[in-house]
Amino acid sequence: MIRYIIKRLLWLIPIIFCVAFIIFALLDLAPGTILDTISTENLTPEEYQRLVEEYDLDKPMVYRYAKYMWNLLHGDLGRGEATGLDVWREYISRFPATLKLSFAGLIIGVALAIPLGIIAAKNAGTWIDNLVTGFSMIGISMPSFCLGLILIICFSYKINLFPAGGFDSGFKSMVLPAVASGLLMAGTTARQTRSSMLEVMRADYLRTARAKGVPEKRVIRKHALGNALIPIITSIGNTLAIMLAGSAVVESVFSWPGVGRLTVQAVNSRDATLTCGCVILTCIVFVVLLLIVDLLYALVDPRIKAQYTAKKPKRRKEA
Amino acid sequence: MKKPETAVTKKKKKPRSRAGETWHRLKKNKGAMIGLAIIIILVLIALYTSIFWDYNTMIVKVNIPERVQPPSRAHPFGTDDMGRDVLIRTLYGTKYSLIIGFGATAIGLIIGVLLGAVAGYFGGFLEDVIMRATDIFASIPAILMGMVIVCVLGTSLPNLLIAVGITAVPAFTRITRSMVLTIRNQEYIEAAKCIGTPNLKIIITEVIPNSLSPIIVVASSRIGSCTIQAAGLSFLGFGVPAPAPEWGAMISLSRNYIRTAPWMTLFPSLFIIIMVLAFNILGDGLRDALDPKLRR
Amino acid sequence: MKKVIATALCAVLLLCLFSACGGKESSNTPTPTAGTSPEVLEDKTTVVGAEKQEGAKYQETITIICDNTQMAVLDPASPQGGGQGSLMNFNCIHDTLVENDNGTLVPCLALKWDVEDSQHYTFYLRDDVYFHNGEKFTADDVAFTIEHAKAAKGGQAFNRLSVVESVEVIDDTTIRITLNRPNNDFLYYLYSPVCSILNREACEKDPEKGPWIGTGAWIVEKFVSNEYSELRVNENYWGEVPVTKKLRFIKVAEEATRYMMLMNGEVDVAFGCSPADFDSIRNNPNFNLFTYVITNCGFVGFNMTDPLMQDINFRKAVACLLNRSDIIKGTRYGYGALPTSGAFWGYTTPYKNEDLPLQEYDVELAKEYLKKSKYNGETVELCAWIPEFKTICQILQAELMNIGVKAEVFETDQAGFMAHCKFDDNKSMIICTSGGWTGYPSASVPFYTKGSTSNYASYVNPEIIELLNTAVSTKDEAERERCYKEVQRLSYEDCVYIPVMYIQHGVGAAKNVGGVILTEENTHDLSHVFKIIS
Repeated sequence: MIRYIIKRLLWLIPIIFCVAFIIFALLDLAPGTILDTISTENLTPEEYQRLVEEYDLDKPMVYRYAKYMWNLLHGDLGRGEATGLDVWREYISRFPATLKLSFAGLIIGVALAIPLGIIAAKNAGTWIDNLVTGFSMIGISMPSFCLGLILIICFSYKINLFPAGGFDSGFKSMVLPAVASGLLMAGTTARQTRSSMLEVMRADYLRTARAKGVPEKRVIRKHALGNALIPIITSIGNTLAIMLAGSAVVESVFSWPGVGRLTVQAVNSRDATLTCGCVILTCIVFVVLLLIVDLLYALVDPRIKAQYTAKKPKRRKEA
Repeated sequence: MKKPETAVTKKKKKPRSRAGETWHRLKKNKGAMIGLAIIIILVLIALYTSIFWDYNTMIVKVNIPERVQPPSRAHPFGTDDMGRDVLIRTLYGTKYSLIIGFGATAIGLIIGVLLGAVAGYFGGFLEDVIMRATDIFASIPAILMGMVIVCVLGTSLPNLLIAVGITAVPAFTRITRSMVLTIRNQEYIEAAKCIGTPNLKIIITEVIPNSLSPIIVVASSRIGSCTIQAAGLSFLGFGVPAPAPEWGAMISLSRNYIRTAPWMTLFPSLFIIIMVLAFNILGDGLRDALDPKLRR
Repeated sequence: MKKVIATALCAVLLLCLFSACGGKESSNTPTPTAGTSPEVLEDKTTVVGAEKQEGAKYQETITIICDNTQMAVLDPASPQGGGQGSLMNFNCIHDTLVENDNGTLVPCLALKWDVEDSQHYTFYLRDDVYFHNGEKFTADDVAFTIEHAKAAKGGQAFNRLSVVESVEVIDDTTIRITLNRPNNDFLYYLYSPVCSILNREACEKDPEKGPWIGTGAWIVEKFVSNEYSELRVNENYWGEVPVTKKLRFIKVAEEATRYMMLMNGEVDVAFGCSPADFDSIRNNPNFNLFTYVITNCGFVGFNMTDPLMQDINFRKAVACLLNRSDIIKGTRYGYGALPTSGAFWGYTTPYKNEDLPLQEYDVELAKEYLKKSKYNGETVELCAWIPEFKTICQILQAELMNIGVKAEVFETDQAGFMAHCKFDDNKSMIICTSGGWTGYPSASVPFYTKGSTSNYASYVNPEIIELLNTAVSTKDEAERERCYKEVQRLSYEDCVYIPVMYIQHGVGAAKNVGGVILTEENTHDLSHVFKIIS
């Protein structure tokens, strides 16, 4: 098992190389360079040319990429080209905010959704089922900024329960953004839970368990839920990805000083160093998260655990 | 001579094909039929509006004196900030959302399922490469991806489709692989290998159909999220060029008026919800219909 | 399953009801008339808000929302340092040599100055000023500020201070500045917050946080790039110490949220609210709305290197299609000012040529010009990056399609836009944007200079360039006026930049907030803001 974990973590290295390359390539193809966000009116052509050389904009993209990777290998994430701010410091000062938001969203998404999904599956076809399904539909189909604005109007403006923005009021200011970002996950997870539970409930081994006289609660918890969990965990992993990527939108609506906003700003100023830094760091977080999700599979399904820990079968000599 | 009527002699039913069987079972599901009906209505609306309505006079014409009017008899859904009728624009926008939602999901599904099945089935190094490549693609922020793809290729509907479709691939790859991981050690796979069925045929005829259930559920949710993602891109200006009445763009552009003139965001949102709902219900119905364990 | 749909729709309708309730309350907003509203402030700088009272108690912390522009770096010389948020911070943290009091220059860090010809300036500085780190303010710091700005290579501070050729520190309170050529507007350059005086010792010791040390009434406590900044009052300020103890500038991305935070009481002053909310703020007895027209001119320009745009008949056709009052209603809810003449000039910038008639909206005349032009069925492209101007593009597109011109809109962000309209490689056709005007006339120069990033039209007219050179350096005031007016006339005849509107911004504040100084260049001074709580 340890070997499996180490192997996965080692894959981070080629991933980082590829991601950085893709970012540099994409930013190179996008119209405009960092010099277009600075007002360069009074520069003489020679001074302008010197600026171009300073940002290496006259060299091919591969050169800039190589320079960046060389610095990265020395542990230096560089300074944002536009602002001169240290990339690591900017990212790390905003990371706790995004983490809090994602975590809170995850709690709402999972802790609410799984029990709801189970209840819906148990009472399939009744009004409870319809209510839960209806609720998850809404969670899935609303754009997050729309939902965020509606939440602000209802709960912050009309009824002054929560602050509309900012990061300071502690727990209170986290509620609305968490709901806005977690509702999507709540919706998908509830649906996925319900559908996998339904599938599993019709399985033969449950009939056997009930015939044996196992109490219903244990049937659900031990036998049904365990087998239903795999697609649920996958869908949680998927939606977590969407949440991390889409956190920029929720962060904008609620003025939440997080990492998503930083990335968007970096892209808008065509700042390759800052964008790369943000994306690489987010990527690392992401890969670690996915690793945890995959390890959860192994925890839940012993068949998969066996696959992870299996040694490569030795080739038997042909007799 | 008359044939003796016995309980045994009945009209010989031709054994249904798999698709026929599925359709038969789907028909029985009331909800799925309603979902299908809604989708057909939306498709008809899209066809009718794009063929018979004049884009220039009905959709794009600016009418400032009548801007931001609440719903009334003349304008059932009100007018937007340029004085254009929201109902007409919403109905016309059906075509963009249908094409983007459906098309992008289709792209993601075809590429993603194939990759995921291959990754899960063959395992080993191939699986690692595919899954890590998926991780790489998933961790690049969607706005960056969409922005540049559309920038390089140009702002138009097909390019938006490609941009959103590519970002849909990782989800399908991952879920397919996880299902395949569970299936590939089943006995019927081993049996198929024993009788010498080529790997590709096994993947297509045995592995994929048995992992279809969650894939369909994912696909039906994906249509909604593809539409919403396209909304984000449209807002940044990298979607269908303005003033095209794509629902997502309409919502985004009216968000400053959400407090004072909510009808401008309300009706496109309602239509998105209805469309996503319809696809999801149909997806659920399809899942039930396709489930071999339910074969009665 | 039917019930699923029913339930989902019910929930959605419930949500709609909530938001619809808000709609009803302001659905009887009067349709605003284009042009001015009662509180329009047409002065260059104005103090607004409540008056200070004897024995009043003041609120300790005041929170202010800045608008959407950049607040990335707190260094006045940074190329990124131009957004409203940054400028407001500079006004609080730093001082400049001179200040702008409604068009007149008044002493600040410089007590008086001699102007020999427009090329040599001698400043006599204050002797009793200390920086936040305890260092004394001397002429050497002024020299350093100029060095620092010139080293920045690009940006507003560089644009202003790069004209300085050499600096001579005569003693601790006297400094002599020589420009590379005579420039009449140099003193006006110096009142901008980007020319704030920095401390040499602080900046050399810490290049990043050094520029946070200033001589102003406020000291930086915390700053997170593009999110918020927190300042505390400088008790040892050489001027009047503010009564407020702490200031917070925050950035809120959504316009609708700004309004709600203001109404909630979470913030005390909110810039950048959407004009759709202005009437609600004004009609609310607990809040004030102050509106001000900024000097920036929103315009429609043409790429003069494009073959179709080179045809003056086509340009004149487009000029006839601008229904300005509709545009102001459509983009700013009526909060905008019409140009008073056809000249492309700042709103209150001196030497405006009022003799050039503004082309009115006339569809028939447009059709005539179109017939005379070389238009042959091509698709014309309109581009913009600022949200209001994206809307103007759509309005113009509808008008063009109305007279039979195929048009499409190219919307992008700032970097993409600047790349699209580069001087040497201008790929645009019709441009709708707003330019960098200020209170002094030489702000017009970048629009006509070869190779300038503000010359969106790639327009080179040697006569105009010659006139501008004269105007900037001549000592004869009458000659200067003649030159500037002639430049406007030539540009008008060539129909290159057509003024569309001047945007009227608004700032919402709680009723008993006072001490806000608004300027037409969006460089507001909130260093003496206060809020009376009893």
